[in-house]
Amino acid sequence: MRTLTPMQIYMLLPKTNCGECGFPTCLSFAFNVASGKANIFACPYLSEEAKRKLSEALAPPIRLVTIGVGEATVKVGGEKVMHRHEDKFYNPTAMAFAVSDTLGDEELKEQVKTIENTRFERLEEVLKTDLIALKGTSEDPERFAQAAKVIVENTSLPLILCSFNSEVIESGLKICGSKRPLIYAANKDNLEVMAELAVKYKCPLTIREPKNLDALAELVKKAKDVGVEDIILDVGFKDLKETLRKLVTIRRLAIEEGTREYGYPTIAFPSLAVFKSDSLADFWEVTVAASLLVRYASIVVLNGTKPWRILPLLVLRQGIFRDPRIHPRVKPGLYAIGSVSENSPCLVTSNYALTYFTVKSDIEASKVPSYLLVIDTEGLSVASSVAGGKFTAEKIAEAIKEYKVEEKVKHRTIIIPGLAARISGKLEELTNWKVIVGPRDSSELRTFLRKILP
Amino acid sequence: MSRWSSRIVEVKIGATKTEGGSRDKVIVVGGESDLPLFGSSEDLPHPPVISMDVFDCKIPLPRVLKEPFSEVLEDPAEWAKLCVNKYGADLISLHLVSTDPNVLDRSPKEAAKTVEEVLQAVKVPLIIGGSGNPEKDPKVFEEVAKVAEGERCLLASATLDVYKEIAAAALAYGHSVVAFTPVDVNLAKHLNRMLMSIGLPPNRIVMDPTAASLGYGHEYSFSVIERIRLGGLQGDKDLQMPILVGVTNAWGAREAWLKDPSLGPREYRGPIWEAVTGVTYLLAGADVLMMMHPIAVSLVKRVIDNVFRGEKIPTKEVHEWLKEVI
Repeated sequence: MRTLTPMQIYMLLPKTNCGECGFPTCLSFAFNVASGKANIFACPYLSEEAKRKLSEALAPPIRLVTIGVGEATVKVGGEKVMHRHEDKFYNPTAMAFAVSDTLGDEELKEQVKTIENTRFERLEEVLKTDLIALKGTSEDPERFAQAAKVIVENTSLPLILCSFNSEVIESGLKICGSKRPLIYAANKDNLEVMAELAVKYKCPLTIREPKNLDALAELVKKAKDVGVEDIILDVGFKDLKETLRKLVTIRRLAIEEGTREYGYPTIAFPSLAVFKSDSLADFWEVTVAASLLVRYASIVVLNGTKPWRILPLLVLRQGIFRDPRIHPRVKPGLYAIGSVSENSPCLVTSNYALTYFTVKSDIEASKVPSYLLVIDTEGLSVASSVAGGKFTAEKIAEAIKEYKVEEKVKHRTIIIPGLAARISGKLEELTNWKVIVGPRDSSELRTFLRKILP
Repeated sequence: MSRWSSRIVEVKIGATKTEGGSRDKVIVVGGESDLPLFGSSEDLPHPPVISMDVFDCKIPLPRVLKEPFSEVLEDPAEWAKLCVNKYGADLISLHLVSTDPNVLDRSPKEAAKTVEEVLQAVKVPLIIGGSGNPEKDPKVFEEVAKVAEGERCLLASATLDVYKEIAAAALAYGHSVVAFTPVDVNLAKHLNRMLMSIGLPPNRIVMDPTAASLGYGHEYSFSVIERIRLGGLQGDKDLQMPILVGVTNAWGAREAWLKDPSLGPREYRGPIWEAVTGVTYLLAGADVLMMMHPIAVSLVKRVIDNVFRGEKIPTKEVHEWLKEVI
């Protein structure tokens, strides 16, 4: 990450030593700002010029770009590091589904509905797609405008308007320009007119240059000269390796070298690798998208809306963009699930949040009210914590005491996960409780719990 | 010029006749001087390899995963042949699950016989996995290492519980080991140090830092792999070994096999779950991928062929895509 030196900061200050910032001189203020002890905006007399320079210098090396307005606004970019363990990744890769403007209005409505309904709940978050890419397949400005109209009337999801024909793009912008769609795309042939449209409608603009990165930087400079600020980069897709390498390279240039021309989010099209003749086409699109997602594509545009294709990508994204410093875990303790009584069965599991929520929902599905004893496995799943010696008979015995399980239930029987079968003997020894080895996967609890009822 | 001062150690798996084994060829993994896609192709001298899993007895597997192997599930030698001849496995990972006292409690001698049969059936290098039972594994490995003497197999796995016995078996009979630790860079370092301290050279160690399934701790494993690799490149000698991942773990995710029509057909969900899990670890720096479903294997192979071997992958122009009606 780039930082400013005390002298660079000092040069931006009014140099009047007024003291209103709480420091005796502008110079000492500058030193304190540089070391992070003071906030630059404590100076009430910063010039507009200084503010602009500062916000530029303090901005993340990859610009944060927003697409859309209101609740469905999508944020991309704003990234600061190459690897998530160095800090975290800030804004999840946006998933866009493509539709053609040649579809009839009814078909379009159907597609939009399918895209809207493609959502899954996981770890108390709703996983869903973010954008609709409207392709100007017809090359007809009127048809394109009509399709854009149908879409914005039926969804709040922001649009990517896709065409290299500026008339097509403008007719779309006339319909939904106020909703901040992403324009796809300016290239070396249409840059000026597309850039002007982006400025006129205050919309983010994609700049596409598949030739090489120098040529891309040239186009970015030109667009900036016209006044475009929110830019998305498309490095092209002649070959998967080449595209991935370019994505890695521009990310490094932006983050490690501070090169402004490359400091923008990126867009990639896994669907360009998909051919109908390929028997694995649908699988391949997902595989390609996954590799783009972990190697820095900020937006991926997909063809298919099938749940089995999108779910693995949404789950991958949820994990990779999770803050690595925060382990998703629940508090260890004894949880009552359903209206429990002193005869309710008692199960034990790990405190990895996903494990807990999964087991909880399976107990609920069984309709057998149960106690769930959650032990502290440091946020690891059952399998990992058994292997890592963090899911032990000793810990369970302690937890039974600590959470006073013997006061809550009359029986002395505990159900352990099938994956922890090996600790059953030890646990019986330590507690004198009867230990039942439960199923290896908690989905079987539905039948298992009903079966063991007295 | 690489941006790093250090290089990952090269580990050989398998031995040919002239080297005292009976394999057709030797597989070399490691040798990297940067992460995939970060440096040049010289930074990645050996493409990652796929080892297909074979089990020595019936174990609970999802139906979709069993199907491609339905004819051979009770015959590890035939199973291995199918993986090599039909699905293009670079190696076979034979898991001696049946030796577990809680499974079939088969004797080390019986396990050794299975290893012999597989060695005869296929000529690719072998990874030999135990049952994971810390009492039984040492006895099993002593026996199977002996019958496979000179074949330079990977014995999986040395853990903090049983590293001494596994390393001893490897040293006595000319094998290497997989060092397994549960998603923890420091434990991985520690185990490598322990292994080296009892005489196992770094070029006979492959690290398995635990490959969690997509959605079930995948991001932890992904970051641990990146951290291990970057640590090794930055000069940490305890992290300079190649990395192995058990991608088949992906099938542990309920999304891969659970009957739930709202998620789409299971025939597709399982293979894609395994493929996404595999390809992400591949790009993070994994060298050996243990996998199972043929569709997932061919998808990951495509990425290996393209990213690591430089074979072009057909794509279409974006203009062409814009014209497609979908």
